[in-house]
Amino acid sequence: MNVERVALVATLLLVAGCLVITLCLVLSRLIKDHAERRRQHVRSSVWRVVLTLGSGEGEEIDEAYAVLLSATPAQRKAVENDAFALLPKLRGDSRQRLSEVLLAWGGLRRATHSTTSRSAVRRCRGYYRLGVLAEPGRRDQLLRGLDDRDFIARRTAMLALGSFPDPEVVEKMLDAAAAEPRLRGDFLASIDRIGLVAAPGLRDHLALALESRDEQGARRGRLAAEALGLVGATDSVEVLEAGLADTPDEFRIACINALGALGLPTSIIVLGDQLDHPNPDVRRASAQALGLIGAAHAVELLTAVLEDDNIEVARAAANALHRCGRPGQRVIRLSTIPVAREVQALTSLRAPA
Amino acid sequence: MSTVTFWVAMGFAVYSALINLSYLVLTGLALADLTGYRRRLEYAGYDEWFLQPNSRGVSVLMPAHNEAANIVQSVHAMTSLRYPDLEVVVIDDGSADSTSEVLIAEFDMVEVPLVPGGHIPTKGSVLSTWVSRRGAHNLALVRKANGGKADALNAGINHARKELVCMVDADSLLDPQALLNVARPFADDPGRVVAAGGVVRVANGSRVDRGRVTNLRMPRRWLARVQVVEYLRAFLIGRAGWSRLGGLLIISGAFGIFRKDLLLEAGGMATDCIGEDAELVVRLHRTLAESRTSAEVVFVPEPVAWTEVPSTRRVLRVQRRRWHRGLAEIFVRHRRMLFRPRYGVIGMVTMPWFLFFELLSPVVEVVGLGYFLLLLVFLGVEQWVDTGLDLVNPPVLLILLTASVLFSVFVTLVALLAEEVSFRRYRGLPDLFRAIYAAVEENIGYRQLNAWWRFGGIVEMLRRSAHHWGDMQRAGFDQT
Repeated sequence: MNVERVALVATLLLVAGCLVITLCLVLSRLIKDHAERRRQHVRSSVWRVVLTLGSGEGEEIDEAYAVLLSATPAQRKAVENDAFALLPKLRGDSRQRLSEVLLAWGGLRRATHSTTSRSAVRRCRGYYRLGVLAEPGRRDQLLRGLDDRDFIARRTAMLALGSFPDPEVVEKMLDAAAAEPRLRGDFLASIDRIGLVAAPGLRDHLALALESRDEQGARRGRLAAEALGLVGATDSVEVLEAGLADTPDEFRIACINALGALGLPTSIIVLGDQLDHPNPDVRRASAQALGLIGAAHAVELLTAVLEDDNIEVARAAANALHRCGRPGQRVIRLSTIPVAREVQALTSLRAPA
Repeated sequence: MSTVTFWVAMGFAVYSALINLSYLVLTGLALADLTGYRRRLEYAGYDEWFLQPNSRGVSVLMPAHNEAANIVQSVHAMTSLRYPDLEVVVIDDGSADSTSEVLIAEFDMVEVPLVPGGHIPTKGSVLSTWVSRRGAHNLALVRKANGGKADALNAGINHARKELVCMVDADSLLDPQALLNVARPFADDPGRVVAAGGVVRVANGSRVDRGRVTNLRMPRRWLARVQVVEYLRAFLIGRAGWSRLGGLLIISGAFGIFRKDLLLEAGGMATDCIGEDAELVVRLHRTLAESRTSAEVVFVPEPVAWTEVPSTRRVLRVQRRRWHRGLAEIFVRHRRMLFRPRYGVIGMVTMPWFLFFELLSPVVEVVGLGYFLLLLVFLGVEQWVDTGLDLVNPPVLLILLTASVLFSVFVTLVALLAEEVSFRRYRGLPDLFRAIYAAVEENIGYRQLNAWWRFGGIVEMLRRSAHHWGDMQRAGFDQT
């Protein structure tokens, strides 16, 4: 076959290819537009009923409940996604009723089934819905999700586990987040939802991390410290303060931030010691933490940092001083240091006219 | 002689086939990511992240020069973006109009002596800094003497007070969730991700309501319509594909987000390079590779910045010349990165690809066009005079040309299909037919013009003529 012939065949193939793709585009657009319009048509009436169930009163709710229980499969399908998204935003009886409707529609069974699907998107949907429904019997299914082969599914499982306030769950979540740094944000978001129930386990892990001193231990310790600050575990101050001695800088910063978030004045001395640390990030975190505590006897420590070479540290100190009541605000008012003047000017914007 | 003519024509055809094949490969790579991405978003926990107290703050930098007409609307759109810890810094780069005055009046701003956290040198000195008394006091204005866009961004980086810096054009519109999405990789992998870029799409012909694109339509004007499919191929497919390969070279200046500490370390934007946004990313890649730091520049396909593309040939010519000159300057400046394994995928794959299929393509296209015209002349001559050389074989020429154009149309159609099965931003058959028509019509006239303009960019770079932005006049969005 000569070149001319090859080029001709290629041209014909390309013509056919263009026609096939154009046909696919047209069909896809037609089918999807039609499906969308149909779904919108079905959805609009049923969604109103779902909203009534969530925010209606008395008989309205009973009526909506009955209507939803007798919804057709097409109607269920049209609103199921949105109903699952609405559920975490509801509280009390409304939440309970909508949850019952979703269970009656087979939501739990389908979600469980989805977690074994080959499609990552379906597994995500399954984990997400199991988290929303928060049925205690499905806890282990979600824990297995932490080992899913796709990152997005592991993330969804991690977020979903925030609905299970259980120390064993917290431990598994900490293991997963320590092994995979990308899960840190999701781990913290879930711990925030779990709350103080997580504190004892996290404290133990922080203490263990302080002893182990290896990289994995430091990562676990850092996560535990961040989480302890987030849930407000005030009885963890001692172990967090121990984290300020001879630890890697990131670990130390996590402990400093947690102590700041807990806001106990007893931490002022140890945090003040960190203001001399050679790493500016540590100094800045300490100044911010002292500002969060906001006690008058931190003023002297923070005043010395106003002239720090690093502008961000100096700015953090100025902001912290402003939070330390009248003594701190007086220092800012009288200072001629640029960051102090900046904070003073910004503060005056916030003051009522 | 006819053999030489034939093989030269084959050379052009093979070059064209290689470009299109590489785009098909990129489309395949992009498609793997795009199809599932949108559906996964609803489970990605953005609500949780939005509520997180320790999410990383973002400073949105908006350089503005003589933008009095649109600045208020753009700032309103930016300040209402959904993000937990956000500040907007507008840098008025020596506007001759009332850009600053309009902002100060509209947002009730007062002069505040903001202290720059960075020390990147700027050509134009900072004259004053202002902060809005409204809302969360998260709108700042930096007034400075004129120094150009890169200089304005440097002043903005110095005054940014958050950990992450997002650069947007003052005339771009962002989707409400855009910042949440584009900043997500920094939360996912805090130590590793150094920069992220989003998609820039064309808003011409669409309805804009209070700074938001509400009714997306394909533009009626051919120049804008052709640019829609061009942006789709380049931004959505090209960048998603390169990102998948780990070789993303360009983040658009219209919408990109960076770690501020790295920008300060790198010395900010280059003020002596016309493609400062792309140059910055290449420089970051270079610095990180040379310091053996493991880092990633990522592309996020969903956050969208909307831009108004030029709708006249004059403005488009200025833009394309500038873009191509910028690319050429980057290659001259960072030529040592080419074919060097120490720069990984960037040095061994992305930069060579950009060199052969992006930077040199206008040269090949212009020469090819000239050659084609020459052949047509010979063809005409052979009709009238028997030269005995038999230089041109019209059927072969026609087949090669048709195949080349068809391949290009095919690639664009595949890109449209990728959009259709993933984000599906456009609705209805009429818009689809307009897009398909644009895939065909861009090959007739537009590509040749574009190649000529880009060729001009290379010539400008070689002549080292003075940098100038030209007057980028826009028609404005269709407001409600």
